[in-house]
Amino acid sequence: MWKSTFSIVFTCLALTAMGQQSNQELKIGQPKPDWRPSMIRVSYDIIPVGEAIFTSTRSGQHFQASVDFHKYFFMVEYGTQQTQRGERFSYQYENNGSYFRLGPEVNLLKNSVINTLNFGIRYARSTFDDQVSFTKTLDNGTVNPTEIPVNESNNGVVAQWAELTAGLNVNVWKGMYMGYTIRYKFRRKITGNDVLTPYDIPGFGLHENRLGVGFNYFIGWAFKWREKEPLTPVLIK
Amino acid sequence: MRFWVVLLVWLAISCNEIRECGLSSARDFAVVAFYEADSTTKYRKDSIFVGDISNPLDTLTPREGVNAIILNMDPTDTTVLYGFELNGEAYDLRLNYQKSIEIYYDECDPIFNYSLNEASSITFDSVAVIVEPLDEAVQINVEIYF
Repeated sequence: MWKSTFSIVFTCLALTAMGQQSNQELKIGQPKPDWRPSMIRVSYDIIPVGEAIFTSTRSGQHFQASVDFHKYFFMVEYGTQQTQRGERFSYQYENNGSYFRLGPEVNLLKNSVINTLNFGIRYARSTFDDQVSFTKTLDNGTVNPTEIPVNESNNGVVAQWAELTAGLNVNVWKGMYMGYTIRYKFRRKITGNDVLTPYDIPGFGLHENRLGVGFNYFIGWAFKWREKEPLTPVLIK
Repeated sequence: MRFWVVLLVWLAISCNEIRECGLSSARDFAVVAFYEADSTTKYRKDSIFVGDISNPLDTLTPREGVNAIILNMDPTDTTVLYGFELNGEAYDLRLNYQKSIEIYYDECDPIFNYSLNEASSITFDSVAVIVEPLDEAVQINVEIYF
């Protein structure tokens, strides 16, 4: 009697355990995100170099750095821009300033820690000085019009705006990356200008445009301190 | 395919803004019109003899039979004081204004944009700023009653 009872109970327990084991094998959980940063990618924008070579109006430098957190990146950008206009005409306009951008990006390529297809947002801020000099002719109805030299300048003008970005980065050799970023700039605000209305805003574009579109082509290097494992599904116990 | 290429080229051309220096509507002067002060209805004076208009930048020759005059703004200042000789009597007019310099297009000379803040006079019966911006679209900026 005891033997048969023990056999039945043992058989039930064994079946239950087998059932649980088969349930464990069927459950597949989401991969565990790896939030620890694995690299800093530092990039240089070659578009301003091209502008400096092929045009005489604009020159500057533009750098970008990013740190990875799981599939997200925190982006920091810094740039300088100098503009000279009017040399072929009767005025001289000079603009000199710097800008930075901060913001997150998300990599939309699944399970890729090397190549990235990014979408992101930025907060951007530019600080610049500009000045203009020209001769104003007053047509006052007399034979000899009055000519007045005009020199006006702004110091410490601040412009702020937001950006939506999209870009692609490809690992081309060892730690070397190449890629582009397309920007849509909006919600521009400017403070600190005096009589002179700025013509250029470093990092943004022309002052007359309240919206802007930008294109940057970056060449960079990723400084890695650990390898990031590809995300794989895990079994839930 | 050809249709879409033509359409894209047409859109690119049509979206390209025309920028010509002459298209700027900013003016360097205010238009001042004269009205009868002692009248129940608004009555525009005409045939005024302007013997002399002067300020440090402006000296105009005498004119006869006018009902409005243009007064240049001083680009070096934000106020200008004009002296008039109208129908043989002396008057004054002070205009306060804001100014800004704008490069309308980088292939054009920079332009001044003016906006009148206030008009005042000791000698005229009444003066009033009707339209503040000095712009081509505006016919009269200041009304003077005397």
